[in-house]
Amino acid sequence: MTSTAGPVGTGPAPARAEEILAAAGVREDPAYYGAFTDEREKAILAVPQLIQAAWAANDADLFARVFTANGSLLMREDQLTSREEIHAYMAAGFRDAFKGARVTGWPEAVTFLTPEVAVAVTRGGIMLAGEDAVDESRAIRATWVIVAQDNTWKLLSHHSSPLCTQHNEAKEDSMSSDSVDLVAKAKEWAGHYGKYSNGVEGAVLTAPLRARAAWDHNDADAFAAVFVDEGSMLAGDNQLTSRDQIRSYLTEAFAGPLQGSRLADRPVDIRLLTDDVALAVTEGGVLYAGETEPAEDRRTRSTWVAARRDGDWRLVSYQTSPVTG
Amino acid sequence: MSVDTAGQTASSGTETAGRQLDEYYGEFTTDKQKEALSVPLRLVAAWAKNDATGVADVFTEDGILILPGDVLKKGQDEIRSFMAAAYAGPFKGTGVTGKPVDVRFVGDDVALLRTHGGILAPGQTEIAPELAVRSTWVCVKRDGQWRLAAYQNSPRGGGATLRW
Repeated sequence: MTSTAGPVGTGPAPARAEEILAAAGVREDPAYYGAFTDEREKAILAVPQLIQAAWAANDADLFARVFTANGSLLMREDQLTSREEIHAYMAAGFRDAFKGARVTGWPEAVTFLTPEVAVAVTRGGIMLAGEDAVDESRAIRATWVIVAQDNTWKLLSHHSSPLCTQHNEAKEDSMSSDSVDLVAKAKEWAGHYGKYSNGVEGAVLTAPLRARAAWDHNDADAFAAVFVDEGSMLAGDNQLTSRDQIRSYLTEAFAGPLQGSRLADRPVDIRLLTDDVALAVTEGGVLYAGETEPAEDRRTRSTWVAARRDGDWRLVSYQTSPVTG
Repeated sequence: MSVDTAGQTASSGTETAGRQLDEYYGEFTTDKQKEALSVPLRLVAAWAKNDATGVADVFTEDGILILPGDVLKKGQDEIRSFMAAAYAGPFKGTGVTGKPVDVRFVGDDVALLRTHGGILAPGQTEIAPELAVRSTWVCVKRDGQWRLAAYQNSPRGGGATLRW
């Protein structure tokens, strides 16, 4: 708890990446920057390079010097809130659990909030001694808050969280069935994104997934609401050509043959046709009440056309065809 | 005590609401701290309505949302679509709550908040161990309004198993 911490002071215009790195005796890795090649972005990304170098040398002094005096670092359950705490923690770590360990990573975002404060996002993780890649269980994504101070860039806050959707099933006594259920559903839901978790493909996929969630609730209104007004859907031999028709058709179907059914599709392809129109192809099928996977003879492939309206992805067309004869 | 009630003042009276707000602010009682701490309150209120647009509006236009599991959303549009799908899916009817444990400013226009909180399963008022998180909120004041530039949370405690 550092509630008494005063404001963090910022300093004059900071140095360039190679100067920051050279001052610490660290060699610049020109490949580190990826898409962030602006000089200001590179200066920010000198900070994660310093941290990588400190790990590679198992050097707690170098590591702690990267932080502001009241810098903070979250290491799983340990929230460190000063340079001294960070130094002590890492010195102990490099003598023991982190001996011979290093980290790797690369930038995913760099944003300037003001000329003297930037946020960077990286992904990567710790490689323990003898490992040459980050074990999936240790892969993380991190937010770095980096501030101008003493004519350089300093790390004010490093916060990481696990990337992996698997987790150790550490059980505690007071688990409620509601929260266990929510965790299980969230994990299942995360799986629906397949390899399209993020970026524009991930955004496109939210449209079929909203429709799927509505289907799983047998909620015709919510399903139809994902479509644009003139949205179309091929249902069996019925070519529906408006949101109202889709709603009416499914209201009847969910009360009848599709009652209790769910949609079990996984994305196999997502591509942008223009900046605002995309195609998603999914495979799977309808699960009738009691089924856990679509019957072999009812497997389907579906095409979803989505369009961006006011920044949100909506369905223009949904068509399903049988995979087997 | 949690902030989830802060958005529902109508029935509880202003006195109760004020007391709940004071409990939320805890030791962070300066006007500047309270102003920055309005950011989590706005997110909690939007979440209580499962309002994806309201959640996205708390962020800056190019705001970043990072959640355990492989979730990295960039910009209000990605955040809105992602949350709309989450509210249609497993997070329908959920709430969210949190309490500040650290507040610090960089100059006048940037605040770093840290809260302990978590998602509330439908109907729950206490955070279950599975859903407990530590959150970092990077807030920036734009045009007189505090906005969320970056948000990330991490599991808190060995039993925290929620992944997105």
